[in-house]
Amino acid sequence: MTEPVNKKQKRADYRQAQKENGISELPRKRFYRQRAHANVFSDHKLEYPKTPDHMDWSTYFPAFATTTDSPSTSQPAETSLVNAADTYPKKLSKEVEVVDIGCGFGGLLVALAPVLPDTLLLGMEIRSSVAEYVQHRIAALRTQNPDTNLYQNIGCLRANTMKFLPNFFRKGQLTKVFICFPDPHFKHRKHKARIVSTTLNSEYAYALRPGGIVYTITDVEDLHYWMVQHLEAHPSFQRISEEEQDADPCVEIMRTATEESKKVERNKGQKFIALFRRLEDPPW
Amino acid sequence: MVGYSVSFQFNMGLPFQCLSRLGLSTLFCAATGCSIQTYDLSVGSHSLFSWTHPSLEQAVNVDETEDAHEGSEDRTQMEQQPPSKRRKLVCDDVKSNGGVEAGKGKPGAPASGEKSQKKGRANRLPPTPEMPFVVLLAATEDGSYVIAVTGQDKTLWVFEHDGKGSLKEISQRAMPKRPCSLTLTTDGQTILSADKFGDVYALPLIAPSEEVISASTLVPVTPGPLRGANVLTVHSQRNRRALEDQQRQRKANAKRDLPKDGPKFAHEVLLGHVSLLTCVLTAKDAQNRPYIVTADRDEHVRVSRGIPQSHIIETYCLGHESFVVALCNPRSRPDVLISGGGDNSLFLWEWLAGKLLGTIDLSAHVRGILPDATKIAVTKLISYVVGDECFVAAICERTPAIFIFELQVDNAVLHRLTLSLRGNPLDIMTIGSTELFLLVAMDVPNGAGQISVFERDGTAWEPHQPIQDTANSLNEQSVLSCHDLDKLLYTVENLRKTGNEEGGDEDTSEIPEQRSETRE
Repeated sequence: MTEPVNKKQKRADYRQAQKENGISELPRKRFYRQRAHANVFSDHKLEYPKTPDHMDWSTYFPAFATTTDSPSTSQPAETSLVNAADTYPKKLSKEVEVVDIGCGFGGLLVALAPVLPDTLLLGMEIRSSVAEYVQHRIAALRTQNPDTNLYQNIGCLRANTMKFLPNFFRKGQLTKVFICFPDPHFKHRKHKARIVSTTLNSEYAYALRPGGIVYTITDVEDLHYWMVQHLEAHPSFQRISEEEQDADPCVEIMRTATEESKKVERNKGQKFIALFRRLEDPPW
Repeated sequence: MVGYSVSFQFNMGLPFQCLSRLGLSTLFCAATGCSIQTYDLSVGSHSLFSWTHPSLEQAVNVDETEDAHEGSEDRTQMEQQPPSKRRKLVCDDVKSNGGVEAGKGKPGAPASGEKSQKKGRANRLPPTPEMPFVVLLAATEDGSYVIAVTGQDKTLWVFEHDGKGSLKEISQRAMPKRPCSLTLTTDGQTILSADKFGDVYALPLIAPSEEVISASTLVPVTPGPLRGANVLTVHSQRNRRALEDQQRQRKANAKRDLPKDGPKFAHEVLLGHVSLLTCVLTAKDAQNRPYIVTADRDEHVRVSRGIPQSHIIETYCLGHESFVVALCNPRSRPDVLISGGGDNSLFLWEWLAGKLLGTIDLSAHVRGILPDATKIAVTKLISYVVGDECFVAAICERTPAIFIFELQVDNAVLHRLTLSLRGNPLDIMTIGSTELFLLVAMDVPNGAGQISVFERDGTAWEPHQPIQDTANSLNEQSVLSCHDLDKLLYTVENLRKTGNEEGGDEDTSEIPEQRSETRE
């Protein structure tokens, strides 16, 4: 059992070397691996903004940071009440519109970046080392492409989206949400931890604007049926037809570009895809 | 800390922990331990009626109670439940709840030497089974029905009130998870129950007869058993071997992993958070449309549409930096919401827009009572009206005072007065058609159950003759130490995040993937 010690040492050396040399080479996955399951119910040491307005996106998308003072530097005046002075960070020139929930090692983000060049894409990953890998990967890709704006539109942060999605995004801010190869949580008692559930779908519907799309892919047939059932049962979502699904360029990328999908490919596994459109809210 | 008992003795009496008004009269009900008692304020300390959880009633003298027969029937029902439910121990509770309630067992009060000694002793005692304490109490607007929840057995009880103080048990429903907050829809026909699993259930107030079970949950029923992973799912050789093991195991465990049967009564999942819910309330907008407001441990206040569109989230009221516990939607100001919890301030919202109107510092006022207080946990917020003025009263855990603020028309909130108390307030309410009385259920050190009564004089509150628990509940006292009682009565501070938790996944990152299925 000396191996873990060596592994830790190697990781530490690697991080040290990275610090000294800067991130210009693509990071190596072996130094970022982390157990594939995270307990979504525990507190972790998460960082998340109080409200979407409090989120400072400039470190994730520096190319889109505004240089001039944005008008919204403070909250509307609350003269009558104490503790009103609350300053917001500067806004980006664009808002994040596409989210990959559980982005893993970031294969989908990197593949989508050139396809949706005018859209900001965000990967959200609960495992801290894996999120760090994607951040290093994006930094390296940006350094390697200094003359283009390539990969300036993707970012990744560590988050528990099952708890804190509304802390990052306003109502109707998103146009696409990707849920690729989520943790299947086979046990019945763990089903509450699944990323798709009828109660959680209300939160996806909140963050998505009407017409927005939820993309799901999995290699576990049962989980596919589960996701289809639960999204179809939700009155805010409607399944998208096969034809339309096949015509969507994002689907092919999702099918081939993520690390998991490549792994499934190598093992000649099956892939199940389903897309759902966010409907307009009914009159109230 | 004031009011915190540090004696070695067992507590000599149980305080009242929940209060509920019964309509607009001077009648009210109060829960102490596993009992519910009704009182008439105009009569005084004499309790009109008493109900005790059947599992305890059995233990005492059955012959003395009118409902002896009924009680024993319930007892047999209890015995048919799986033993794990009845024998669930307090200490088990702490372990099994893992992340959600990891803070439990660490008392919020600073440990004096004497107290830690007591704690050490308590640890060596065999664990006491948790009592089925009444943890929630509510009544319909007109006071004709009372709803109670007993915590240990997760049971929701409905009683019919005859208008004279007598309660008749009409239903008992065991919920899938322990309810944390109760409310009724504005029509008074549906109970909304929020639980620690994050779900809000709708239950008809009057349960339809058992034959008409329509388990219309939002979650669809899965057709056929789930098969889990198959040979095409897994990747590495090691995983494949693990899969073979798993499949063998699955056959052996097929019975153990069956989906839990839902409750056998009509219920519907309205909405859910992936967090522990702490408060649910119903509110209406200017067009009289209903909404459901829910608060959770992860700082969220969510505004959803009412039934039947409760799946639509209208907005969030975000800004809290600690858990939210108490919500209040003043009757005279239906457009605003006041929320409080682990933050040093109360938050004032224009709830339908999700807009923060301002925050009201509470910490300075708490320090006026407890100079050393560093953390605040608001446990309850109520509002009342005097003329056209709207007042909000707040109580905090282990803080012997009531903090009263005036909410002005321009949304300014001004501190009006602080009422000092002899003990820690556990619940608070106003009663009477003109809200002339303020009642506070208190935990008085080494005292029996007591409800302090204040009578309103203009906008001031004058102390009035308190209500003393005269009905004896000796049966419960003998088994509860102060430490155990504190654990049952002071649960809110435990919601605070400790910040040193990594969910265990960081340290166990070296554990091979396939073993995670067998680990708990």
